[in-house]
Amino acid sequence: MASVTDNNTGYTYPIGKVRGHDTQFISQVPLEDFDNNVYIKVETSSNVDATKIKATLGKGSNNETITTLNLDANGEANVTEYFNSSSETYHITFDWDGTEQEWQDLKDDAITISDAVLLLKETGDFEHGNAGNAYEHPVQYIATDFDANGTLNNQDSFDLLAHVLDVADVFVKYIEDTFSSGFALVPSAVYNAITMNNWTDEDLPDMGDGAFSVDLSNGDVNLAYKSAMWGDANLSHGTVQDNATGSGVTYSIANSSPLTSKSMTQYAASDSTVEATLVTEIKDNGNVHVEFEILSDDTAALQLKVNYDSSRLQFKEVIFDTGDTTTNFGNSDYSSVNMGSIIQNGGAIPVNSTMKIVFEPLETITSAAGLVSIRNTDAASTEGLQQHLNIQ
Amino acid sequence: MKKLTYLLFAILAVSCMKDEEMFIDAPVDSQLEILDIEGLNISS
Repeated sequence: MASVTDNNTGYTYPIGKVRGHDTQFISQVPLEDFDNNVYIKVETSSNVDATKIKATLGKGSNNETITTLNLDANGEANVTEYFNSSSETYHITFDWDGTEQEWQDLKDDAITISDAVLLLKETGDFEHGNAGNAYEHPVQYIATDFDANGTLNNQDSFDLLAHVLDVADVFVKYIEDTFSSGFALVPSAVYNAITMNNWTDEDLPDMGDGAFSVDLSNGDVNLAYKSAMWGDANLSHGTVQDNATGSGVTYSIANSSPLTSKSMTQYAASDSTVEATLVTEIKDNGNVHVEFEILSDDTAALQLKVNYDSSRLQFKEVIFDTGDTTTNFGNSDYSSVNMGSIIQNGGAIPVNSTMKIVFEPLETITSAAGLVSIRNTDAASTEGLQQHLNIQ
Repeated sequence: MKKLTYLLFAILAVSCMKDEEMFIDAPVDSQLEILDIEGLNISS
């Protein structure tokens, strides 16, 4: 079959031959000679599963979609085949490719009691000193200035604490409960250059439409990004600011001035642990007791989220024995209990303090195995640093 | 020092307004401070 179209009409022949006109010519414009690679390199915390992040590449003023792909476990993707011109403009947008539950789990893991304690210290609402100096990076201020007024105050402390206590969600309340709204992926050069003045003056870098161009004539191109999460005060699920920048990438914004009013040292994430025991047992009256005991002596705040089998158990109460100066909190929904303690006198939660959750059985229970599980935990030291729970 | 306590009480108040089950067991102190939490004034 042959199909021929002239300036006005198309013709289709079951059998035919197509002959070129004697003045017909074919031209070819070769692509740039490019022997290197283009990579997306998203620097995420090891606490974030980068494979759940997808990147959509676009080009041109209309941001015509080229492709969508997932990042690997290191937050990287080789996108060489999609970049073929140094004069073209490109866009990258990131989105969540996990489930809604996985997004919720990420939020639950990222924003916990140690974040609340750090913000309380920064705002002076927590009597462990260091008010005004608990944060080390401008992005920490931006991530927890929920009302975006250029100051951290009681309202921000209240909001973060309320979020941790499951009373009000800072995503729902102030932005949108989506990855694209709550998880900032910013070109590293821009991220590193964000200053305190950007925050206090409410003048964050304007990325415009995010368009950029690449120089294909000068080695590999790394499209480097860094990340921070809304409410993640201690950057446990984000990355610190430093002087590293992407290479071979030109953004259409001016570089900001370097950081002046805060140091740019590596954020001092703690690897200390809270030693504790957890015992689940059935008492004489058939109630199931889950008792948690703190064995460490430098923990200022601690939070536990415990899931329970709601088909077999009904939450009854939490009994705290944490001394006279500790504030305890807790709540329960249909299948989980969120509870914890914060001490506010500058000291630590006393050694051998206990938290006991009591459940009433909905049926006769002969074994405590599998009835409850710890969904996640978090703790902060008297210095305000995150601690990891080690149940003996 | 008292701010944390009152932040927590403010959270408890919000929780009650939303008819959510929540409890806070905080040390009582006589020194009160004024906090303005979204119109929820907790004052001496």
